[in-house]
Amino acid sequence: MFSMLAVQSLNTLYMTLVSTLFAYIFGLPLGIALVVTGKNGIRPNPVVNVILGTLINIFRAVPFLILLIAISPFTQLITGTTIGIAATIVPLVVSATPFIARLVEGSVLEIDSGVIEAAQSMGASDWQIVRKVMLTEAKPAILVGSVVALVTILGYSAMAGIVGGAGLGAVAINYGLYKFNAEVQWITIAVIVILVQILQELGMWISRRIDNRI
Amino acid sequence: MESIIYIIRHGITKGNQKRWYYGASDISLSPQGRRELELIARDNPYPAGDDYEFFTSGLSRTKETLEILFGERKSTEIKDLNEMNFGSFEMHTYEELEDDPEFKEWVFDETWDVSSPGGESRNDFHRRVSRGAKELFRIHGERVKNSNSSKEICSVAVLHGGVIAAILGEYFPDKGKTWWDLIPPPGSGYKLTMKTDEEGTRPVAFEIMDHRPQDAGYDKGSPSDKAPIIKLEGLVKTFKSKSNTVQALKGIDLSISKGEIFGIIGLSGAGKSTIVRCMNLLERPTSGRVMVDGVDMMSLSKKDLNLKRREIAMIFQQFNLLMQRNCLENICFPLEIAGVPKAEAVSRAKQLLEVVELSDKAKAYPSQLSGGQKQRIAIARALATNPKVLLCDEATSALDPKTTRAILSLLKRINEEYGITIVIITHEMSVIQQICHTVAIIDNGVIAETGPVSEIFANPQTEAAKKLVFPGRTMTTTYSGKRLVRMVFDGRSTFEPVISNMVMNCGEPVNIIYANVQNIDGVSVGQMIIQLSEDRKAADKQLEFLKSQGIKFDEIEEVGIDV
Repeated sequence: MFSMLAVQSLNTLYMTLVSTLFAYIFGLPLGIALVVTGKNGIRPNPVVNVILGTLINIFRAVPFLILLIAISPFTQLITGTTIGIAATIVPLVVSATPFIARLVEGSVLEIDSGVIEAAQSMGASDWQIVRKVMLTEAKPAILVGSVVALVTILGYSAMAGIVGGAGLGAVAINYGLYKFNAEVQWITIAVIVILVQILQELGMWISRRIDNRI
Repeated sequence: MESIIYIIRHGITKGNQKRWYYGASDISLSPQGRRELELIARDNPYPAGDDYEFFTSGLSRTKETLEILFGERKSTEIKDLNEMNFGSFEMHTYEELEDDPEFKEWVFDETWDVSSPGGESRNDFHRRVSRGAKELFRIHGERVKNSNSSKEICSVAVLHGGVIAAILGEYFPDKGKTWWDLIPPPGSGYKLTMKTDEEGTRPVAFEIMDHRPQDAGYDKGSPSDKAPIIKLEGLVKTFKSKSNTVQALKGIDLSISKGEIFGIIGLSGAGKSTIVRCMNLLERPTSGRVMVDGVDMMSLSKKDLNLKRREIAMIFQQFNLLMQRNCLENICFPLEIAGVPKAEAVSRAKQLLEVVELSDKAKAYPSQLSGGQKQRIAIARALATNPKVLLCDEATSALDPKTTRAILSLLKRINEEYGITIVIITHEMSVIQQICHTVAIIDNGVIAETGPVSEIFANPQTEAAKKLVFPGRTMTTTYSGKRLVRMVFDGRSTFEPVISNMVMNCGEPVNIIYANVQNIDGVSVGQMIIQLSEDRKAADKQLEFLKSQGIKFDEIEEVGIDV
């Protein structure tokens, strides 16, 4: 029983971290693109901006459970299966990417526009501004956002249990819900709460450490 | 034939007054005079072997002067030069001055630093001297016309520490233009030489030579860059939003010369920030032209614009430092962008930290600094790429008065030491007063007035200028019907106790209605309104007295809001 919980905890952590990583690989550039092409961005482009914004909104509006089932052919295409850990990661990434794009957008928009202007006045190219100003100046805020993203993805990963995924969510559903084992259900929930707590505190601690504004 | 004429300026203190005397190519060989001359000789850019010919005047010891400067040289004696009347435009020999019972000591104006006895800015000096010179040359021109002599005086240069600081001109009938624009500012490292005709009496060409030290931080420009460094032509900027259209700039023409500190002042919303942001194209003008150092900014590609922007640094009201980088890394930032190797960038940054006197803050983050320190770091960062121009957009507006003064004197030092042209945007007249040479007053998107700072102060013409010069003007009583006189002090006469002299001289009292005299760049300027005696005869006598004192004044109808 406990060994199973330990294994499934690791599975959950694995799914969460890998999904977050992939979601950032897609979401970070998307978020930056939103800022850069925005009305007050360094390369305003209303067409691209509106298209990106609308796509992101559509994906964010679809409930995760629906998305999970709706994109299962796509998941099958990529991982060759629709159940298990790998199959859970795909819908998690698809669902988290637009969310992360918005988080990153918010973090980058926090930077004082004057600082970007100062860089422009020094003759920095757009790429240099993205790399050396936006990403470095927004780093602490992006990190805080990533904690929020991690916790959210952890929650979603539990839902994946319904469609035969793995992890703590699957345990809670299979043992707790379907087999009426209240004990397992509560223990599972407790483990998830502890995981969330650890991730949250760790993330905030790192973010405070690297922020030089204080 | 190339000729150089030197005029060396000397001052004496007499009682508690200072007077300046200009010696034409001759110099007092008082111990200090000699020392000054030897200093000039040491930095003399024209080696003895070169073929130069000099003017000498028989006035006193020109030959001796030239020998100290250049060794024994062939020289042409110009008789007419002897007739030039310098000093307070009176001729004196130095011995005569020293014999004066009131004579105290020699004052030498060797630097342009405010702490020097002269304490004048280049523009003030120019204004004062050129006024005298005009007078002088007018008289001299009459003399030349009336005499049969074919020789004419060519050039009068004022020399400081081996660098020509001013040339007085405007006396050639066929060359009506002033030469002032040709003159490299002091500290720029350029020197001006003159080619003359066979007789050595008439200039045919001028050449500006680059004598800046090789190892100095700035890069050498071509000898001909005496043109204005920034030129705005017909600049229009319109901001459009869905609901309305605002025309921020309605056709601005502006020319900023190399090496000067140019102030742009206006009330908020006047458009001054937009002007400076158009200079580096942070804001793209709707129409018009922006020329920086001879380059049409609007015609540049994005890449070339970025390269050009390295020559035009900018500092801001909110400092705009990178919060996640420490001071050293902030200063390295523009160098990083320019692709300078890291080690080189760091050593340059350390050097700049010394310039702004914050070496101990290298590892500190901006959040740990005070406002004044942040602006110092921003200035160091701006200087990193050796820019030609430094734009300051309300750079002191977020600072307290004491810090403002410190930052302004730092800017002044930078202007003098590196010859960087500085453009200052401000809404505070005191900022203009403290460091600017030239000022443009912006009102409602147009330039209301532009000129040397002390001139605008002494005699503001437009309503916008008056509003800025006399901000607290609240005169409730209206005086009219009486004989009112507005006197303008332009720096020449404020040492004299004019009013008390007038009262003693005319034996009639006067009533002071309004007075506002300020110290600007070491020269007192301002205005005073007095009410003359009610007795017509006595009043005329008083006016006569003012006239004899050479004070600018005019009789005015009434005093009220429109002083």
